[in-house]
Amino acid sequence: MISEVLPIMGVLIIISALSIQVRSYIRPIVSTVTTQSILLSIAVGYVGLTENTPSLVLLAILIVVLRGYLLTRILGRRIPLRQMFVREYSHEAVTVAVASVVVFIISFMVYRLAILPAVSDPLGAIGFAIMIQGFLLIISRKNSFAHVIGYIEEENGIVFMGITIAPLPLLIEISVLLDVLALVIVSTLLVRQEIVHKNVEELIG
Amino acid sequence: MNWLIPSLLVIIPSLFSASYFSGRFRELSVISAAVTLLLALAINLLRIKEADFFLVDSLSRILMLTVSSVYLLSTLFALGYHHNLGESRNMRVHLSMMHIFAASMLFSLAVNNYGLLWIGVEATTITSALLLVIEEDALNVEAAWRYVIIVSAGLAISLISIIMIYDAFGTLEISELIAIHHAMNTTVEIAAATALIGFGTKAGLAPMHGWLPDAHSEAPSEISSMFSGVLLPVALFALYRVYQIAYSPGIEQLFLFFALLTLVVVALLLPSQRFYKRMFAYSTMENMALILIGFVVGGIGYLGAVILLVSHAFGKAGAFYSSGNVLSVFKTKRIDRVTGLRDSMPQTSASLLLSALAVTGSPPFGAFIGEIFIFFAVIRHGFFLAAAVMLVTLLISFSAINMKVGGMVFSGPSETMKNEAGLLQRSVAMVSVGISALVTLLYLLAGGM
Repeated sequence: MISEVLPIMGVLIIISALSIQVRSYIRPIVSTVTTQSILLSIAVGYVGLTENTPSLVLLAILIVVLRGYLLTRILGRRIPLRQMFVREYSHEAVTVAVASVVVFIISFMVYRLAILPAVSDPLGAIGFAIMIQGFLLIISRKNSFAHVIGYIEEENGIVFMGITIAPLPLLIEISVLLDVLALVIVSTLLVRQEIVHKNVEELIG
Repeated sequence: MNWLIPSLLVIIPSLFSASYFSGRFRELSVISAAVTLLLALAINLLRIKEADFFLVDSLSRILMLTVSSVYLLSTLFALGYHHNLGESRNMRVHLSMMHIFAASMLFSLAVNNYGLLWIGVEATTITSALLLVIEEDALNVEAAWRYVIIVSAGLAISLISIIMIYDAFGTLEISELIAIHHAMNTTVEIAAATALIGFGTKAGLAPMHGWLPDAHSEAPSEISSMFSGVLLPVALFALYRVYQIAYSPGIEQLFLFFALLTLVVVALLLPSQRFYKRMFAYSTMENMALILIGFVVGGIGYLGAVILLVSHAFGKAGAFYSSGNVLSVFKTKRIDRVTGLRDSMPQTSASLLLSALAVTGSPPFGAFIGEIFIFFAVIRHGFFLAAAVMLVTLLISFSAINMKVGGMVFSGPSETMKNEAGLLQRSVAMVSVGISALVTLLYLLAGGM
């Protein structure tokens, strides 16, 4: 049964990742990453229940609470407070959408050629690809909100990779720590800076 | 009972972070750093060894002492450097976060588990992010943003390394994995490669170094000192812990390649630097690359790496303290706007010049011995091309840094009247540079090789 549920959740998470990349408005991206986190928590919770691992069930609950609700709610609340726009330039978003599909394919190929022979678990490719999509979002957008969402996506990819390849004994602690970092970023840095990052003379070279 | 002192080493600064709520938060901060240093001294003098929850060996002992020392120096420096902040909330938060930051570094050095090691290194990112924004300047915030986003993305990759180690061995206990001589396999090689990218990002290895010059140049000087002097070595320590169980000729070459690439990138960028704090940040990258080379080649190179690590920590801390003193008077980070330091700030100019010499490997500073050892170890291994790259890039970096600092100190008349930084700030800078030279003396007293 696990072998069916995890791939289904994985595919839905991939679709959510692609959806995040193609959207140029920030608010729907926040909603989509919330959905992605909830999908991940279902996958983690399901593995925890079927393998009788209470720590994974706890992890699923924590993902829903911290990442699915708290973090994205705080993020969502910040958006209307900033009177500027909450939209990336559309031509950039379209370019990135094409790039994200290419990156997805490359991620799967890299996993298949370099990592799969070592770990013998093909589902890890989904987590790996999601993580790379998170990086792509951070690199390709100049918007602070997109950076945080890229970071959350990256976290989701790691947790998915963790539960499919080798569930670490410290996965809960690691996941919570990553969420705390995201909260620190959002609550202390995001509120103090401009939404769009520009080149600054003092920070060049 | 061997676990007691390492436990206290982590617990004491964590507890003192509550000094935020006390009216005597400045005094409590100094007490916290001083007690931590005494504990680290005790660990070294008693030669405590531990391999249970904590893993304390010769390398972690030396690093604990170095971290604690720079922590104390930085706390003292901060009291003078930020005196204008008075009793403000920002100052309280700053000192409290410094304690937690130090505790998270010491935790990383002490734990005997790769997962906890990763947690410790990640925790240093969380605790240090706020330290960059004490002055709430737009540039500080931008630099902090780049730091957090790039480093946390990099550390996410190093988490793959931890997953791979667990997949390969079924345990994350460092002492157990170092003790067993296992056969090399692809999983462990992937673990080493991803650790190189992940922890390498935090250690400032090219091409993952984008955050480093920004964060170092925009952070308050005592935080730049802690970043350069001890935070990056802690990340390098984490990388070395993975390398200890993942050695193979291929991995050795991969690590060497990235270290040499870093040296080349630094040599290309240093001559064109216009800001002195940024210049010292690039110098840190150079030193981290050299230390990594020493760790990788082992033997006398390992010894050189340890000497360089300690000497660089104090030398670079001195360089940033001195930079902070210059900045507090000249109000600019531009190299071409700082002239005639010898006349306007005689003591600071001395500490700046000496620290520049210290971090570029001039005798009598420990960095000189360290670099020589690493260089000979590389030649002994038959890596002649690597030795040639080291030689050329080190010469370029040495010339670039010392010419620029020399220009600031000796060139033309100063546009600023004689106006030194506070006594405490000057003393901390000079003591730090002095310790960097003392490393050589201690090494010679210990019987040399």
